[in-house]
Amino acid sequence: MRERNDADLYLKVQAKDKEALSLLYDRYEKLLYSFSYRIVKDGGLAEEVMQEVFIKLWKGKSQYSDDKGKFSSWLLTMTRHTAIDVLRKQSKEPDFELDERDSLHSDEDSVEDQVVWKERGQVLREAVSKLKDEQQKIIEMFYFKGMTHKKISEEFDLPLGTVKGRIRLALKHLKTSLGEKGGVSDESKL
Amino acid sequence: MKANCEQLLDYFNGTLTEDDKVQFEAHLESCEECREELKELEELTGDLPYLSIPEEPPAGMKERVLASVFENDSEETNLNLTEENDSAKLNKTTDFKSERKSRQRKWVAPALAAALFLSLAGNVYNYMNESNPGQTEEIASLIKAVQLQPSEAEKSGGSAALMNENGQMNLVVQVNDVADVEGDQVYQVWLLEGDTPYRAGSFTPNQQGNGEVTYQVEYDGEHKWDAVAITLEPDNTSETPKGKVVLSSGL
Repeated sequence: MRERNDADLYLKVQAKDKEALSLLYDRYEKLLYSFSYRIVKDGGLAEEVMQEVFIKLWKGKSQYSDDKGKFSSWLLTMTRHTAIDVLRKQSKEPDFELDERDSLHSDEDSVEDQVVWKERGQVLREAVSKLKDEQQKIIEMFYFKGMTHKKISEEFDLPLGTVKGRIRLALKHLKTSLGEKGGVSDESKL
Repeated sequence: MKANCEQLLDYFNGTLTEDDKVQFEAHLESCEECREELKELEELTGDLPYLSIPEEPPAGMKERVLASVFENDSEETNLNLTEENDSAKLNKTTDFKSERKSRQRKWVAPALAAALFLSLAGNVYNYMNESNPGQTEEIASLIKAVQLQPSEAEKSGGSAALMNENGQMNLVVQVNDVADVEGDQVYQVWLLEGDTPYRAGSFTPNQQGNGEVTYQVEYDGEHKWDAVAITLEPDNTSETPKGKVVLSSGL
């Protein structure tokens, strides 16, 4: 069972088992790399993110326990934070661009292990493409670019107190749109 | 909206400074609204990583990443002994590295034992099993696992895990490369709540300097364990630590 092994592997990694880290790496390489790439938009930087993430895992700097939810969700959050950090250290203003490929379907990649990802991805991309531009943009800036509350308020010319509500609304629209598709929202966690 | 509540988005994105983050986490304890909003954000964004287009990882990335992980690890360990680029102390560094390698080999056996033990803990995977989200037959779950750090630049190490098993809390401790005991001496494990130590099992190491103990934590009332520590005691009856701390970690 995959998820059971994740937890086992994590514990072995805590006990400094190199083999376990290697297995965990194999399991998540593609997802974490693609997610990092989605955020930093550069192969070299995405690799830097991977390195940071696995150093953190090995050193046990951020600790996982099951009150933090699924291991995979925790790992993805850690990866996102690391990627945002790498992006910020680039010290340039993160360029904003709508990822055009979000509205396209990806036909490559038929590895069995990634079927779920692919399906989820297609449903998600369709749902995102139905959002208003501004809503797509605010999700992009907040979630994928890690822009600060203040920056978002400036960028969208919104009062500070309104930003949270806007983001929430965009995410809720996305969820509603997903719900209509009957796709991803079937998951118990949604 | 209170000032703290305005930091929720930046907290979620991990962009707060370390100080602000600590403060916000304290705020979270007392602000139910923020807790709920944070949970909602996590739920609403849970699937967004899967928006990423599958990218082909660059060739050789695994070797590079893992090499840097392990290299970084030994550099860190060496910081106490030698500054980087300090060639005069290079020999010392090398010695220490090889020492460390042998220690890691020794460590494999107890680590596997722990993993086997933990793999019996059904809830760890039931909880995480995507295909059966409804099933939560609780057998045992990991509450927290930490690595024990030696107090001085000693080569000893170890790990501690707090487990919940059928409502019973167990503390599993394993150590490696600790010094021999003499006479009635034992290594005593303590759980600390604030400054108050609670006895949590004792052991004597084997000839290789490895030891382990599983302790049922049965102290009445609510406890919030802050740390775990191991001291060398004259015998196994100490009610408070008499010896110095050999290994410890926050919880």
